[in-house]
Amino acid sequence: MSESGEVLVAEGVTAGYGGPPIIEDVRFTAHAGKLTAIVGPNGAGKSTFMKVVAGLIRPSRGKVTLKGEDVTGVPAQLLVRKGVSYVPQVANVFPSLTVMENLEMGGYALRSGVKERAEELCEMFPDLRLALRRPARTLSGGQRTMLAIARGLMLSPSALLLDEPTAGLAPRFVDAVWDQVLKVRDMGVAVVIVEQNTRRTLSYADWAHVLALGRNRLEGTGADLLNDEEVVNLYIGKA
Amino acid sequence: MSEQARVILEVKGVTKHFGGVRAVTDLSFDIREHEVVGLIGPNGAGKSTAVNVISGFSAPDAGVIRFDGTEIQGWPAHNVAARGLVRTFQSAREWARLTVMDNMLIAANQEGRDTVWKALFARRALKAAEERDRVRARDLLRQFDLYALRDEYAGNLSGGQKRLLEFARVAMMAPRMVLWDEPLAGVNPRLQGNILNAIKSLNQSGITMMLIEHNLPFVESACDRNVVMAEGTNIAVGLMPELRQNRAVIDAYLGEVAANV
Repeated sequence: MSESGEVLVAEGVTAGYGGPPIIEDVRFTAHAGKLTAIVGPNGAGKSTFMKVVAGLIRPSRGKVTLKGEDVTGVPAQLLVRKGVSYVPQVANVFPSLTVMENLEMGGYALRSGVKERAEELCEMFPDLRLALRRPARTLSGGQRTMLAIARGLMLSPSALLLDEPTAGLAPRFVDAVWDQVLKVRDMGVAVVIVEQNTRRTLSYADWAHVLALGRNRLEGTGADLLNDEEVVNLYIGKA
Repeated sequence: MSEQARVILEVKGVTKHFGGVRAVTDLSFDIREHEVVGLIGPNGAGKSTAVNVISGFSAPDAGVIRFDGTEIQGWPAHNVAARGLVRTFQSAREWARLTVMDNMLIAANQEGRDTVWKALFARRALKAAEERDRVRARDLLRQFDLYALRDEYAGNLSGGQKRLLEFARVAMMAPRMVLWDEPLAGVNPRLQGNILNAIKSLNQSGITMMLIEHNLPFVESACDRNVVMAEGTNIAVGLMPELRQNRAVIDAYLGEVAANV
């Protein structure tokens, strides 16, 4: 464990999809028990950066460390065993499997204790207990997101990466998802979140990195950035 | 833009829903001749749907679209284009297996050249028209820095060169108005200046433009004014400095603050 609870650290990360780089020289830190947000206007490269940290894209330059260990380019299926869990924005549950089976899939790497861990998560997400035998496709959008998050927690990760968990949800579900996200943080997990609703995200975030056009532009506590005029300028583009 | 310039495109109460998704609802704005207008707004605001509906790639559920005095809502795209309103796509669409020059010639206005009668009896006129196209294509390729590549297959060009070829093809079509859908997509940032110059030079040749682009500093340097969309409708119109002070625009881009904190 490195000092001051640093779980994930990225330095000088440059990455893209074969064409011009989408993100350039991006740095980032996420701490245990803190909610770290990545915000920024459309096209900032937030999701691309998240995919690098999750091991889904190999960066062309830069370094990602997990508790001090270099994990740059380690693919997602290995990274998840090391304690980095990624919840994508879409296709994040198996629709034809039941809620319980989805949780079991999330715990595939556990040698034992799958049922017990699923039981713990049902304590945390009471909605899921009521639906354990139902196929995931019958869940509401909000419940589906809860299931995806719960599944991501099956391996008790040290970092949970959430890509726009509230996108497309009805307002009451948005509140419920945020409540759960904060609970996960309070359990000591380093929660990293990418969201579109910037102000709402900043109001919850312990620390936030603002990206624009693929680069770091600002960082600070959510509360400070919420009142920073520069954030508005980044979104409504000052040349 | 002068105050007296007349409206060339009028969008009034346009609505387009997909099942339960309200992509565009009661969208209204005007564009005057020779203007370059940015169509901006956060992700999911409905900008691309708006361009699809205006250009005839999908029919609106309601509303009026008037181009150059004629109602065109629900017209198929090729009729809208023949009327002089063309659009581009986020990924440049070139004829990869044709040369750059042939791509240009295909874009030339083919009107009135396609009858059997003309093919049989007006060969000389046809030949002369083709030669005029070739001369114009050469001029345009020089203007867009593509002349050296005129015999190259278009599929071999870089992303930025393909985009420039698209601009040259648009110039060749000589439309009244162009809807640009993210002209910077896939373009190396170093070539942004060339794209900006291309937009300005086409505008100076008299073409009216609407520009969808998420790089707002670029929009600010290219556009005379901007229409802001959010949740499917127009919420503001103006210059960037005004829009940065506009409460509704800020809320649209940054979202509302959480109520329960």
